[in-house]
Amino acid sequence: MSVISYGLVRARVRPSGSMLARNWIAMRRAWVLIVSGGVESLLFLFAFGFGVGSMVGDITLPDGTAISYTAYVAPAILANAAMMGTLLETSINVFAKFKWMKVYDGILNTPMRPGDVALGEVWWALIRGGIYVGMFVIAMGAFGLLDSWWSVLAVPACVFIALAFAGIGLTLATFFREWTDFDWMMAVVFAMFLFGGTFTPVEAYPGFAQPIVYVMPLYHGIELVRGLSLGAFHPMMLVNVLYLMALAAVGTWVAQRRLAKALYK
Amino acid sequence: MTAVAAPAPARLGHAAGAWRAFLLQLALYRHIWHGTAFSSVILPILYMVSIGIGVGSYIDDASTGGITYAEFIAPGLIASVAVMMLGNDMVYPVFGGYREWGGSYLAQRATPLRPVDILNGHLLYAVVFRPLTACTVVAVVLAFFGVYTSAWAALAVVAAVFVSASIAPWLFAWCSSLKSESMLNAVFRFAIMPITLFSGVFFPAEQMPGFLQPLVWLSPLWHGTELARAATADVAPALPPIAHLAYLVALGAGGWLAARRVVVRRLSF
Amino acid sequence: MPLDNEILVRARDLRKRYGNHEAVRGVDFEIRRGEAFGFLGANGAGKSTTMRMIGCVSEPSGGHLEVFDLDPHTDGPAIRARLGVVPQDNTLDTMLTVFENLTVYAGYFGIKRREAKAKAAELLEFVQLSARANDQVNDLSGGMQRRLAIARSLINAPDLVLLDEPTTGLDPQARHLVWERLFQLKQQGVSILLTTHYMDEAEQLCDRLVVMDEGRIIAAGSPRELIDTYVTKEVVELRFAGRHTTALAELALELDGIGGQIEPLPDRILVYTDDAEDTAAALEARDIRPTSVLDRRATLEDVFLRLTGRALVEDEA
Ligand SMILES: Nc1ncnc2c1ncn2[C@@H]1O[C@H](COP(=O)(O)OP(=O)(O)O)[C@@H](O)[C@H]1O
Ligand SMILES: [Mg+2]
Repeated sequence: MSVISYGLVRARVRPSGSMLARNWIAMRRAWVLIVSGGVESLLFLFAFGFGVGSMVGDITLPDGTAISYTAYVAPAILANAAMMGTLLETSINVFAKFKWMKVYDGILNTPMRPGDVALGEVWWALIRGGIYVGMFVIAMGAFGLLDSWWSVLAVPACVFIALAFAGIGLTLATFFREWTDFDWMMAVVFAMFLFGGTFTPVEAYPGFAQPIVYVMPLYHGIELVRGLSLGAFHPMMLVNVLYLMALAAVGTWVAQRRLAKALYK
Repeated sequence: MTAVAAPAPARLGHAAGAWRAFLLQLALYRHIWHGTAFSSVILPILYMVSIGIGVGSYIDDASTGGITYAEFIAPGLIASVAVMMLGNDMVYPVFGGYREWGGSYLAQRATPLRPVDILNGHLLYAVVFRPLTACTVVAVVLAFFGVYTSAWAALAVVAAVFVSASIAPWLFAWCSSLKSESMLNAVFRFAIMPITLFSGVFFPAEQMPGFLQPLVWLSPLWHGTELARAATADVAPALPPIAHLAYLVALGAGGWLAARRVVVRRLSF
Repeated sequence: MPLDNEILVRARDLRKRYGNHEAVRGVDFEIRRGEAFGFLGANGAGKSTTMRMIGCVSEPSGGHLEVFDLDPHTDGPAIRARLGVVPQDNTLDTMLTVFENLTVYAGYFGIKRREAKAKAAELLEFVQLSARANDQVNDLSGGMQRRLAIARSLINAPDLVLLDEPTTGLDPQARHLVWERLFQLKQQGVSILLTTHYMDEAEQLCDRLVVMDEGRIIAAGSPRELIDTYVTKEVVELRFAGRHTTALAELALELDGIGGQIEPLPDRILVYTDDAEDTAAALEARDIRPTSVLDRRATLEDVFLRLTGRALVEDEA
């Protein structure tokens, strides 16, 4: 039984691996570009975590504990790095491959299906997100922001964020028509970064704003990563994970449906 | 457009040439203004709410020299708008200007305009028109946050124009000489972002590790922010205002000479 | 062992509708193993649409289609695994080099890396691109890109190769090179399905073909059969200096009865005849003196003209 199901899974996943291999080969010449993307998050860490953080000193959390502002902000910026790595890859790059370079038109003449393409793009986005997260975690460690071994769990937590934004990005790529649409996406992303609980506890926001924040996918990512890296577990984390996984599944499914509709004309 | 198509005057004055090229840039602006409205106007306001007010509520006035944190970052936000605008106006449009898909320089070159007119026209647009409009809007909106001490705050917009003037020609020269567009992202990551984040806008330059401070002094935005803060919050700048201005002007003049060399080389045929 | 007359593709009343425009309006055809089958038709006839349906990247809106005895609706991946496709616009991967285009594409078929590399090198040799293996696709000429697309379509040793307008837009040398390769494939027994709006291409390469017009098949057979059925053996082209279009159409009326069918074109009049000398004599007798008389064998172009009353490719002159 298990051998059969293993074979089935392998047969379903192998084609998406070919898509992943294609991206790896295409992008390995542009690795500088990819790696340098991780630098952005580090700049935010230095500016807000350390620069502004040294002016804030300690921050008192809603539950009464006080921690250094740097340690408070760093996990949120890590979550942001996971988001940016995958979102940029799946939205902008997939859009370019889909509408501009017509890469998928060529691929669909092979046994590959739209679902394999979408899944392959998700794997690739995870790798790129993983590079950003890895760079960031190393920097956090170097600056003494990883005080417990629990904080290592922040890395798998980032996988949930990356999956969610891979799904969202893929879906957006199928909806976008021109480059200016990305300006608007970046606007929303930046608004999430500034108001998703990155810099101040959401509990301190005005009441009307709080429900809006709870809808933001990044908020759930931040809660998860921050909770784990501070070693503060909470049953709400389950909700965070479920919300992110739902976005990942729905996003990827919608994306492959729309790819199929657009490419199987 | 008809003015440009008129019979080629034997000698087009530099001012007239720049003005014509500027009008052509302005015509393009009508198509793109809404796309840049976010980064130019809305983003700084969001920064003000999230960082200025939100994070500011945890910051003691003593660490910002006796003014509130919102008052502290307001002038820097106005000046940094000028820098972010350059990211819109002086990167892809310049790189694409020489290429078929953008092509605005190639089109202008097909008129009596000289390369130097095209440079001046684009600078006029990016250094004067854009900051004067966008920074003014931001400055006016920020007034509602009660972060100015006097009407002299209006001078912060002038400081922003000088910041823009000191950086724009360098960006023009750099993006004009690039061969491949893959380096354009690097302009954001290694120039515009670091300048915006580490020029004393969000925290005083003294918070930086000592060995990095000389880098801050090189940043045009730091000089501009010092000037703007003097205007909005009546805080004495690090150097006499004339010294800050002199630095920005000298940087801009050097950049213009470099940009002129490149544009003449690229557009002479 | 495949039978010699094994049927690879079977279409009955196949239809495709886009909105309220019907691009393919009920076509029937069968393609057998080992043959080179052609779709001949002007732009917009529905050739690409038909090819895409056979390639399982477009869902038919009606009728019946079977490829390799499988149903495209349910067995798309299995069918595509056995097809080689050269789409009208190549769809090469411009982010990859020439060589990578082949090896990566092989990956989509699940071909192992080592095997893919060997096969890619062999195919580049076949299409004479070995020297360009490490170049970027965008640096290749149109003809080279076309050849690369052909090489790519062969990576999985397909049972049937679909070529959509393989030589459109290529210069004469590039066209001949492509034809030579396709002819070689034919000799090796590869089944080929191609679309074209070039007569010479169809005549040279196709064993059998169908003529498509506005989504319908209006004639079918081998090139020879089509010529024999629809036009006479010979064609006489008459030109009259200074007379064009309507003037020529009027003149054509005077020629009635001189040979077989008379077909006025914008710049010349075609007279279909079984004996060119008789026609020349008849012209003489009626005292009609063209500035030039050209006597040639009938081609598929004439078949198309005869069937639709217009030229296949808009006059390029
Ligand atoms: N995706 C599509 N959407 C709408 N109409 C299409 C689409 N593809 C083709 N058509 C229309 O179908 C007709 C046949 O097109 P096509 O099969 O490409 O012709 P051919 O390949 O013979 O030139 C044309 O009128 C074309 O405009
Ligand atoms: Mg076609």
